[in-house]
Amino acid sequence: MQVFKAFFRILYKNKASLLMYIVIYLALAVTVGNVLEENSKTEFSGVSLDIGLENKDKGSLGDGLEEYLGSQNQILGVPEKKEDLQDAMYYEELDYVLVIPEDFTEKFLAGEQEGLLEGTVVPGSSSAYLVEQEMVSFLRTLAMYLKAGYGEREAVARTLKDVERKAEVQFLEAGDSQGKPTGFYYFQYIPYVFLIMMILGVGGCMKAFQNKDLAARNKCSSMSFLSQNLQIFLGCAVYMVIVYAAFLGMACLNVGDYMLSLRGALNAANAFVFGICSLSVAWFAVQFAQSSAMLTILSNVFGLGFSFLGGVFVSVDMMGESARNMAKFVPSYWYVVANEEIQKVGAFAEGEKVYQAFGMVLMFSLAFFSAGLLVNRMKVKSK
Amino acid sequence: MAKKVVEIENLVKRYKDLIALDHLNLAIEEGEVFGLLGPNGSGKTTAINCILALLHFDKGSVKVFGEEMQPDSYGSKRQIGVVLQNVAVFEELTVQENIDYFCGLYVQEKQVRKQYVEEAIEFSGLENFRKFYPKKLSGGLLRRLNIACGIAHKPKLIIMDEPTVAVDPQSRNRILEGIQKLNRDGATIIYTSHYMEEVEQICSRIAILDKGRCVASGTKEELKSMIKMGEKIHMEAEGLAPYQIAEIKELRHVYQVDYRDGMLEIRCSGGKHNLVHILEYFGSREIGFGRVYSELPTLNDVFLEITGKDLRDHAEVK
Repeated sequence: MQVFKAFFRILYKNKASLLMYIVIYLALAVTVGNVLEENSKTEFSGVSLDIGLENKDKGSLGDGLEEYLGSQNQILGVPEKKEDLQDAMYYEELDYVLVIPEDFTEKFLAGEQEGLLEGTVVPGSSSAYLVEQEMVSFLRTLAMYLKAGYGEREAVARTLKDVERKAEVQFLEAGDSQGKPTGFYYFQYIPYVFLIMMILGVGGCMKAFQNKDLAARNKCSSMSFLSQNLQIFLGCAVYMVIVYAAFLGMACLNVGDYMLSLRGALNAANAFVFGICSLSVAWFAVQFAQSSAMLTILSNVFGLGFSFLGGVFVSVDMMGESARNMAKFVPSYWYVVANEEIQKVGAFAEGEKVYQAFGMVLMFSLAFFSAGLLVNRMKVKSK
Repeated sequence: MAKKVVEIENLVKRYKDLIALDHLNLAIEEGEVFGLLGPNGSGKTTAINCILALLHFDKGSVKVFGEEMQPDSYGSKRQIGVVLQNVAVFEELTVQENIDYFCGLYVQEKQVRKQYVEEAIEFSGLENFRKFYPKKLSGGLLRRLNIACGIAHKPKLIIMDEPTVAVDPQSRNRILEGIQKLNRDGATIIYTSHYMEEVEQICSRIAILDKGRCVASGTKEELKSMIKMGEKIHMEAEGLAPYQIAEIKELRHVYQVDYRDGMLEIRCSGGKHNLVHILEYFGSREIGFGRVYSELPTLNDVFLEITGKDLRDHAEVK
């Protein structure tokens, strides 16, 4: 296993740059995941508006409406002068101004509802919509109780009791507004770091073994060419598994609960499949690397290029149509598709789209490996 | 009769229109230090690559240890040590790791390998550099590392392709002494170079290659006896007239006279008292002269006479 050992000795020499990318990845994945999780925790909150309300109603329904709006919002007085009112609204001191007319109860009991209440809003503000929704909800319920034969006060009391019920919001999983858990973000950036680590790690070793003079020297030895190549292949595979295991280990530390779930298992499988693909891409890329500097450039071209094109950093939905179409021709796109689909899966049997995406990534692995072989053969022939 | 270690018969290798080896025939016997001499592009490295089965040849045969050499002749390869023209070591491995790596391609037993690696380090004088990376080594030390990597597994046949290129004189002497020691320890050595002094110093038999053909082979003495020149005399003499040069050329055994920048070079065929005859001519004509020295033919003279060109300065054709 002399070649295998040398492979890892060479790899060990490149540890500094490889470790740097692990740190970059952890900073990216954990920070982004945590920031989005923090945002999502504060995202649901009741909205309280500043309403300028003048209740001129002589009946009890206007009081009921005032009490209800007051329970949901901040009730303020209405400036007497028109200019003051305009200033208050301009400076957003008031979100909505409502005047309940004198004959509100009378007309409402008579069954008139259309145009009964008219509010003043800042043009383009969403506040009016929210306040009017609250009023519609209150008045519909009130109308129902009145129709059912309840008296004014009784109907108002029952309506207030009904509409004041608040919806309970429970976070099933820490995540963003679309319900994506932190684990999703941990795995989202895997293509970037896997591609770079494979190209730099495997590429650095392969480049050494493919050096013309060293390759000739190795061919002179009594160890068969097949055995040497198998040992290099084994080195690549073991390195990939080590990198994969390291990231899985870090995932367990960061998002342990998620990793024990079905989605965590599927994400682990997705990352493994992409690890194989990264290895193939590295094999392909190293055929073009004449030097270490070239290898670094290639790692960035493939790592960043595939990540941006595939929607790792920025969702492909935000790109133009041509970019979206192009994205389908990079393996990271299918990795991201799988990652998204995994979040919709409830059981292993439901993961058809996920498995299809796995298949696509494996197809890309085969394609890159074959292309690498072809380029390698052309290089050998040209020598 | 000594056992033949390498037998090359009618070897032909073409690179498109260029004939790199033209029906080359060589036989190298056990215990020899066999020198392959020739200018750049003469086919030395191609011949070596064919012996090592690194190249496919068009015609002929190569046998090593009596076995037809093929890329998968691992039994024969086990007994061959290779020191290629370009230094072939891993930049990422230390001196010791490099030697261990190459030794490990032949020797599986860990304890034996450890001992062999130590011996190779000692042999090449790299004891103080075992933890050094190749980048930190001087050109001479790097060449010594290259040799250590090639000989660590104690091969019976060592092929060295210009191992002293761009090496300082001290390192070169050490390398040459090392090669002689390896030979004394029983290894057969094929040594290619275009440094004639080296080949003269260490090789027991020499083949001169030119345009892919073996133009002469034998011991140093045999090669020198093949040529007309038996002695070369140099004299400092100012203002010689053309008729005087013509008269010198008429002297006994003298067959070529060159006069340039006050320096006379006279080539004589085998025969005694050549210098005496020349000095008598100068005395009788009362021609003044300065330093005078005589030398026996070198391999360069052999090469020059056989091929018509100087060994070192030949343009590289690859």
